[in-house]
Amino acid sequence: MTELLDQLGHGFSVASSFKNLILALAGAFLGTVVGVLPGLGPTAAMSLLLPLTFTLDPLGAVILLAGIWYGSQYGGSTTAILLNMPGEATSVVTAYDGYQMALKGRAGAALFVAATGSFFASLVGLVGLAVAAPALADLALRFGPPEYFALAVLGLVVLFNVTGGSLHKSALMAALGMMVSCVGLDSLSGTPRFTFGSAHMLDGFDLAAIIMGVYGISEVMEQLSSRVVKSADIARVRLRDLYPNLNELRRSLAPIVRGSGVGFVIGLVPGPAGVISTFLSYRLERRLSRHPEEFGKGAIEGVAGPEAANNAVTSSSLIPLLSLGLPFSAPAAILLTGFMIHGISPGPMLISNSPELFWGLVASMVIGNIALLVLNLPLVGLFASLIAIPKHYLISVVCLLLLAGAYAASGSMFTVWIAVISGIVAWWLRPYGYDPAPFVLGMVLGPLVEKSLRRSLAMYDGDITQFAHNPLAGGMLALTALILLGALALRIVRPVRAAREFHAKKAPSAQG
Amino acid sequence: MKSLSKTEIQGRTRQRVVAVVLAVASLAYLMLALQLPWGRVSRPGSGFFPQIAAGLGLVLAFGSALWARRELDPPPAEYRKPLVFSALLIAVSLLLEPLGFILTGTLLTAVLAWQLGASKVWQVAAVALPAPWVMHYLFVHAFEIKLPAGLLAPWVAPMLTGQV
Repeated sequence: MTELLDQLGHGFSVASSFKNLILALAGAFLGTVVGVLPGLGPTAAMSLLLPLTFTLDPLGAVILLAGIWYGSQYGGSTTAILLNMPGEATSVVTAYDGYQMALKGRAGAALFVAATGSFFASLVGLVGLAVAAPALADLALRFGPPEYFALAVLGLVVLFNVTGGSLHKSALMAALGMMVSCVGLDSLSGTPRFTFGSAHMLDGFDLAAIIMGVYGISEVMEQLSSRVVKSADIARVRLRDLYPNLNELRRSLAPIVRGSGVGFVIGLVPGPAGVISTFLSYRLERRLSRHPEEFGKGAIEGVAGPEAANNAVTSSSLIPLLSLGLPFSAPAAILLTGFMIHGISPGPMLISNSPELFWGLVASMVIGNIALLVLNLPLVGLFASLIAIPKHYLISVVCLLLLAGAYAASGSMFTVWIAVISGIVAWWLRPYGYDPAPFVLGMVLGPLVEKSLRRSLAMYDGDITQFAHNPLAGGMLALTALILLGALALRIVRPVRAAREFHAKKAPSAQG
Repeated sequence: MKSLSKTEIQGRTRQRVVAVVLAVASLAYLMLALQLPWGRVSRPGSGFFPQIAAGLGLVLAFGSALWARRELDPPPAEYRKPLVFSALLIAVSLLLEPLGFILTGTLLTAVLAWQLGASKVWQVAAVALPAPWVMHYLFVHAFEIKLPAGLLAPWVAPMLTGQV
């Protein structure tokens, strides 16, 4: 415990340098702005601003990127409550009751509960991160190639099941991502692969450029093809209206605590944990509430629980990233890219080799969250008014940033072309249910899967049954197989059941 | 069996076309991967993993084509603007190094602002004229990231560093 506090103290001393403080505040502020604007999610924003981290030191880079991530969770709730226009997918649930509260003149209370709940949940998540990540990293030090292979495959398969789209499309996107990750020099033998004699291709496709394409450019194209968001009347919130009454406060406390727990646990699972956690928390609160009929009509529990949940996710999803080097979500993959740009590989050695990086990040997130709590409530009107910025100004500037960023990724046109092509392809695939997240994670995890598989096979002298003799790796692979079989069984059972129900309904009407 | 509506058939056909394109891409990749050494299972070569990944991609893409579902997310409401944007991006990428970031940035923002509904010249100019200069200054001087100066090279650097 004393050691943990010492390390955290060291983290605060690193994070409170003037430059890091500014970066944490800038990230949190930019994240809030992004969270407010519908359509531009944290992943797109992190990808847009990735080039700005090229010249920062590694800690500064991850502080800025993490700030954008958690700041966007705060911002998303503002427009969800005031305008019924969720800035983020994670704020959709907040809009159900938050906007109803606003219509009843309780917008201030909803915003206050959302902000304080988010703050509490972030702190819970960060305490969990500070305690669990070093312990998990210690455990992971004993991992060999078979365990890493099994863990990465398990992570990918769990991801396929929770992305919301179809299993085989997610798997296909991940396979395509892994195929793309093979381009360049083979890290084990040094053989060039799929380079067509180009010197640019020897280093493979730049991950930052691909991320800018699939999230940045395709997002802009999606915005261009969708209907224009009209500016709406923003409910005015005065500072004195920001306090909930005693009853609202009492009703919010338990949902905030439960939401923090739900978010923390779900954040450890691969996939869009933020969105899933808000829906789970909302369902849980409705089930536990003495007034379930109020849900959807302005129940404060429906704001408190989900808002806490989505913020706890941000902290807990850093645990697998920082202790195992495995990003289980798209924003985590971008954060990983932020590390990799500076030649740092997150994983079990990160905490022991670069403690200032881990503890500095944790401390900066505490500082950033406090700043968000202090700034967000008084500035809520300002943030909400951002939605009125004309789309032609916003998108034009975003595109300019993308162009500059893509060029800056390598200082050559090669990365511009990669970003442009991957953006156009991702936009074309999107309406057909091909989510870019498994592609990016396949690309990020591909080298790890390949290296650990090849090393495992060499270790086992080609005998794949040896995986079963390794309790941890074998257990994880068995779990992977079970998940896949379960998903396939559901795929067969559901249509059969639907057909039976259809015929059962049809039979009486035919007789009648 | 329930008969399919025209929209459902169109939706399924589109899904199949996309899946076939991905299958062809996976097949092409597999053909290239097959030229790399597979090695032995006890000592896998550089072609081992790409061949497995491509094989998996091929099977899944064919599966997507065969079991394409009836339902389909609504396609984008408007194709014209994204297509104009794609063409614009390609043009800007071609011109970026010869013309430089500021000139191509002005072109990009002006066309985009106009396409997105900025009907008056001052509205287009309000974003297209200052934004590339500000962005160039930020990248080159605040973040020390090199951007192509192109035709404006003799003027851009001195102006931005205040030597004029």
